[in-house]
Amino acid sequence: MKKIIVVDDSLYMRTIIKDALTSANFDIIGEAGTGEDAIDLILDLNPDLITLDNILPDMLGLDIIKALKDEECTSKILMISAVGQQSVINTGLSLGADAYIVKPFTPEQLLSEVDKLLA
Amino acid sequence: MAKEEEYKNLFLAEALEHYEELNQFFVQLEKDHADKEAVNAIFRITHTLKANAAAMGFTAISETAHLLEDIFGEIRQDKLALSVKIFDDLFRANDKLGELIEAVKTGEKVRFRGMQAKLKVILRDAKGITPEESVLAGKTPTPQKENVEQAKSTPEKKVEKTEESPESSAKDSAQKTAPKTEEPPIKQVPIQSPKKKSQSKITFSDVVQVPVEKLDNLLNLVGELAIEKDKLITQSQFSELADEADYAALYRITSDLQYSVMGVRLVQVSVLFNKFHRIVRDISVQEGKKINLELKGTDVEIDRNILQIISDSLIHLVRNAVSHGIEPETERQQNGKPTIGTVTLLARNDKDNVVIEVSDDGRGIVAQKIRQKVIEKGLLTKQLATQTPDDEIINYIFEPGFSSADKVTAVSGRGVGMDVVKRATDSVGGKIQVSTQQGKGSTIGLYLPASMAVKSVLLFISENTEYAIPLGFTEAVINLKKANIHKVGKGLAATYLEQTISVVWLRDLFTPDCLENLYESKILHHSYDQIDENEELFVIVISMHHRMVGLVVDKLLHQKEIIEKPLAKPIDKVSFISGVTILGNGNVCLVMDIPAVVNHLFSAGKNTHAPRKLKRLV
Repeated sequence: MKKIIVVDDSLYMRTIIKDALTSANFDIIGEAGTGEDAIDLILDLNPDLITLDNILPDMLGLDIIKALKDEECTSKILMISAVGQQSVINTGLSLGADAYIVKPFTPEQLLSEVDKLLA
Repeated sequence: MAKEEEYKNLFLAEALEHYEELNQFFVQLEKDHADKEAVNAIFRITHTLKANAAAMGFTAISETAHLLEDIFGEIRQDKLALSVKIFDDLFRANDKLGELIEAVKTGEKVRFRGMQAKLKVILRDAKGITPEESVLAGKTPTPQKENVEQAKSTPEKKVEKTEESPESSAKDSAQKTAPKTEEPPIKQVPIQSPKKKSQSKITFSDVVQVPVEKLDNLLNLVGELAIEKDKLITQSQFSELADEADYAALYRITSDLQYSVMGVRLVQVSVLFNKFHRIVRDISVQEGKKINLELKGTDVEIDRNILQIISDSLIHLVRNAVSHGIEPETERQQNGKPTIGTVTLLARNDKDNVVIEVSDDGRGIVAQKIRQKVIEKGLLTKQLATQTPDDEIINYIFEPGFSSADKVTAVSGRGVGMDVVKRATDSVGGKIQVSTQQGKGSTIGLYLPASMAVKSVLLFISENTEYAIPLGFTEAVINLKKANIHKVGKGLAATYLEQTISVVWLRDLFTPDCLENLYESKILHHSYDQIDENEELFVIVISMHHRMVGLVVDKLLHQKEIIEKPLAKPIDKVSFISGVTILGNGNVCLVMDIPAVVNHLFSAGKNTHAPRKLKRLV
């Protein structure tokens, strides 16, 4: 079973993402609401994939990507971003994010991106 | 190998000091954001810590310290404003540093990358770089950082580094990390680096650090020696051969030796007190109260082990002072008090004791509230509770399970704190004293022995065995006759200084049945029923937490300073005996565990239905 960590500061959003992924038989091994927790958790558990919100209370998703890449983390990164943030997405991709989806999204969209990345 | 270990220990001791200092200066700075001295001190400390850690190869510590140093570099140049939020992050970052330092010892894994990323974000914001610029540049906003990060540097960065200093290696990263930017030059920290061959002067510290175990061992040996000395001197009194002068010299030297070793174990209470800057800061943030911490008598000395045993108790007391004692700001204003509450930690010498007091200028303990709670919890009947005077009822806060907090908060009100304090104090043979003035505040004083090893005791005989009672618990020695003692229920009572005290024959206490059903059968009447009307009885009045008990013994001997040895397995859990000592005549003397005795007598009475195990047995 592929292991996933969900990073988002909204419990609501995390729940939606978790439910969608769990129903598709993914293993949610952790979740984080702050950048600090996210980085520690990901480096510790080394998941196959992370879903990453960009705006967190203590830092940006971009900072997390940077920190993870500095540590040579190999987890696939799926950025989740609000509409109209193309520059953020571009930066994220150039830093090493693997794909992105734009909020609001359907569970199907999410799963199709995740499936592609973990294929 | 041994050298490395030695360096590591030195580094650790110093790093822990740095961590403490950082806590202290953060607290100072949080109170006064304009405190330039604190900013400079923090900058200096983080700089030293960074360099030392890098030299040792502890990159996690070095990097984290470096980030803090950079942040304070910005603060120094007024490029970064201090805010409430920043302090939370700074304190947490320092906690991480503490964990990382501790982990050097324990080898435990500590997650720290998240915290580092957070510090970088603070720095980035300070430098006014937009997030995308910063991350796209592929660089952290800390220009010197690459020097510390050795193995993971990208090739591009390595080129940069070689340009700066071609001989760069991991070893000298400590010096290289010294500020090369436009920052004003700061005092270079002397680092004994293998590269500095020209400076061949070696300096030695006047202080030696010794592991506590070694001291424990030394003290144990000195204890043995003192016992042997007593034995020899006792024998000399019966021997014609011995030259008394020789023994006098032996006596003097062993006593001196004993006191010197005890002296080595003494530490200043400041070791513990200084940790409270941070603790009080955290509690006051949680409670939303403004608290000023005052430390007094920080140079008073006390045995290191005693300090360690009571450290948790002190935290409990300080928490209680802040969350129950100090009123909310509005209430203080209404009562015409300064809005900022004061908590004072004080240490002073009192005869052989060291007294540590925790005081607050809060609302004081309301005796009536305690009384209600005592009745509610069934600790006393309503009638008894009403009769008990205020200053006595207050002591019930130390009963297990007692809590008078109206609400439970994260830091206090779990109702476990105070009886933990009592147990810790009991275990070192100390006493607690509470004084409170409604509306003015409370003071809780812990009367502790300055040294654990030597106890002043009263020696006596019961059933041909010698026993010792620590003088801290003895109130008086009195003579009674059978007519003075009366049967009250299943126990015995007498009058001492117009107070009714329980009376117990020690030999009754030491019957097997006593542990299980003290009040079921008439064990406590046993000896009383057998004695003659005119027999003179020797009674030692012991007191603990305002409870007095008269112990009837066979014969009183004298007072003496003894060195108590703990009981060894498998008899280390024996009830009523805390340890043993060997007397000059070679006899083994048992040292009575008075808290256990008193607790047993009083707790057994309350729960007659179920034989309760002694607390210290649990």
